[in-house]
Amino acid sequence: MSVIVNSLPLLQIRNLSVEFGDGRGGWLRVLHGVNLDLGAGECIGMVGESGCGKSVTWLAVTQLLGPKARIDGSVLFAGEEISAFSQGQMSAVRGKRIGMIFQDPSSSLNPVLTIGKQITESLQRHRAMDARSARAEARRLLDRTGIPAAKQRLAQYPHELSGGMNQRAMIAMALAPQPDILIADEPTTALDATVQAQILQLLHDIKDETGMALVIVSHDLGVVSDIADRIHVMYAGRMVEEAVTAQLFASPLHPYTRGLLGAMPSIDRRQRLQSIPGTVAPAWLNISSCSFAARCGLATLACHSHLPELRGASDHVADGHRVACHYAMGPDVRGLADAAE
Amino acid sequence: MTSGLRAEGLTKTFNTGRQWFGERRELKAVDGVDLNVPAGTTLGLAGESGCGKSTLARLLLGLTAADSGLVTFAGQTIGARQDAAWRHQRRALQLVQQDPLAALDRRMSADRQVAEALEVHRLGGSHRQRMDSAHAMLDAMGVSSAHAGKYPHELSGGQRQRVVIARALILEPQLLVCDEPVSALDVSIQAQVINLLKDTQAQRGFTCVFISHDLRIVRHVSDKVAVMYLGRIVEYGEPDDVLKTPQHPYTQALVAALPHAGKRRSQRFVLQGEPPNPVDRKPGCAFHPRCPHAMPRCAVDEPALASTGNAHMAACHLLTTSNTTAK
Repeated sequence: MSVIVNSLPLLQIRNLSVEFGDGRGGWLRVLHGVNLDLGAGECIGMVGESGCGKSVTWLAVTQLLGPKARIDGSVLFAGEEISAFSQGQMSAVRGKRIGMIFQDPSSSLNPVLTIGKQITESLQRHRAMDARSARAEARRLLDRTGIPAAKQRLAQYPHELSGGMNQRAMIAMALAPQPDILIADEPTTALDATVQAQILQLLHDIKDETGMALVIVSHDLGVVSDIADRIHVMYAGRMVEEAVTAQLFASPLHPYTRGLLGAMPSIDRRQRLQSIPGTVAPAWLNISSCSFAARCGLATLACHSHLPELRGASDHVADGHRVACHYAMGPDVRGLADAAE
Repeated sequence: MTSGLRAEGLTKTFNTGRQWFGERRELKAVDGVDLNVPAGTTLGLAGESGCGKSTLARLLLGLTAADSGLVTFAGQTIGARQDAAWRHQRRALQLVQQDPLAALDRRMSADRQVAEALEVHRLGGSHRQRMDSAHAMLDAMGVSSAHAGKYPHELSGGQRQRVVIARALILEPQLLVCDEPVSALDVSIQAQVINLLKDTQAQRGFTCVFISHDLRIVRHVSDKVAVMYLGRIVEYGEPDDVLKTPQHPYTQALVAALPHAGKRRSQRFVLQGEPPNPVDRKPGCAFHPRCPHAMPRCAVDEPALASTGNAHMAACHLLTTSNTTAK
């Protein structure tokens, strides 16, 4: 058994799909067959715009979508098929071995419990600590997140702390059970720029110290590029490109990734922003065509009739650079891509 | 001297009310701000939440009364008087806010809201003529006639913000204040809206104050950049100067905090400490509790904006006490 476990990545997602009821007896597919591997100690970034499925992927993995969603596919976590787990079995994994932090810390924390109570609760529940050692550990964790005057903070309520301090408290709480994976969904979006930098640095340092795997979900390629080893770009419920961070920035292959990079104002150059025309199509459309085709300057007839699969990019198979585009594959990709620039 | 937007010594203090048994506290949202935005140019205003940038926007537009100080635009004094002259001024001074859904009337179709702006100011002829101008303006803003008759909830975020911009621009304002106009939008839509604003400004030549917490966007759209910290402007200058050679330690921290596409976060300078509570403002330089270069003097004297050359100004004692740059 252990041999098998060691040869597998920590988390292996295969063909994960999610459908929501449309209220009239039908089902709308919002996530289309996502595949993803996450190794121990690795940090990956999930990037995309609102509604692309980057959060739904992880809510499906942790079974937090509730009964209104239909989930299909396989999720192997440390060798176990957790997609088949009951909610009871899952609650021993979720929060304990897979920790989560969300965008808005003040709405994720319980407003009527002190910060200390919320962290010790997690320690007592997941690590079976007695009250005294849980309090000491809570203080150590809060200290580690860099909150000034950690001891006093334990007795304070979320409304007494700033957004940045609340996010640190959330991180301390998520780290309390010593998870194997920490999923951070837009962890810095609600925070000011200088605090955003602090929190990203903190997550990065903690990942290195504890050896846990880290998933950063964000709409901001800049935030993700700061700490992720590998980046997955999603569009309309599908993974459209994945690559090692430096590789993705140096040679993005999917027209959508190129568009995202062009749309980011740079601090080094001042030039007209490239905008991607049109708007994101809902993920449940485009079952059998490229969902980006309607906005893509390179789209041909094939793009509107055939769904491109996520495949190894011709030059970069060895690096694990994969892209779902008919044109990023062909021999004349470079010419086409450069013409689009 | 008479054209453009000028502000001198603008100050606005809010009473934050009394807490149980607590003393009455004051929040100095804007504390002695001077600005000069030449006609047809864009001033970018950057700063973190609570630094007073939105209050400053309302003061500049005459929507909130200043405690002291003066705002003039095109030679006319702007004040929050709520009289006939003030209402007449409204047409020339328009605001685009962050959340388009909150700014729009959800019970009115997009084209009617744009036409209503004309109606309020008794412009644009008959109802039909106003609706025609509304459609033309929406079309120019990239909202096609297929979408013009829709209600806000039927439109996407980017389309809604275009409607808000169309409603402001149909009055042909001379001053447009944009308060975080793209923060609620996705990256690819952000670029569309920013390009739209830039193009329209080039055609129509209005003066613009562009407020954003994102230095990358501010730099992109602005002719001059001002960085605010706790109600004061701490640095001002050309976008290139401010972002490439920031002089104030706070601006340096903001620039260091910018994510660099494709570059790793390897021991970059990360500012310590929390953004301050504006109610608990410390004496001296507002930034000194977080400043890595703070000197004893910083806790006592408040530094004034001083030139560091090339119309680049910063408010920091490091720049005035010695000639060495803050590093």
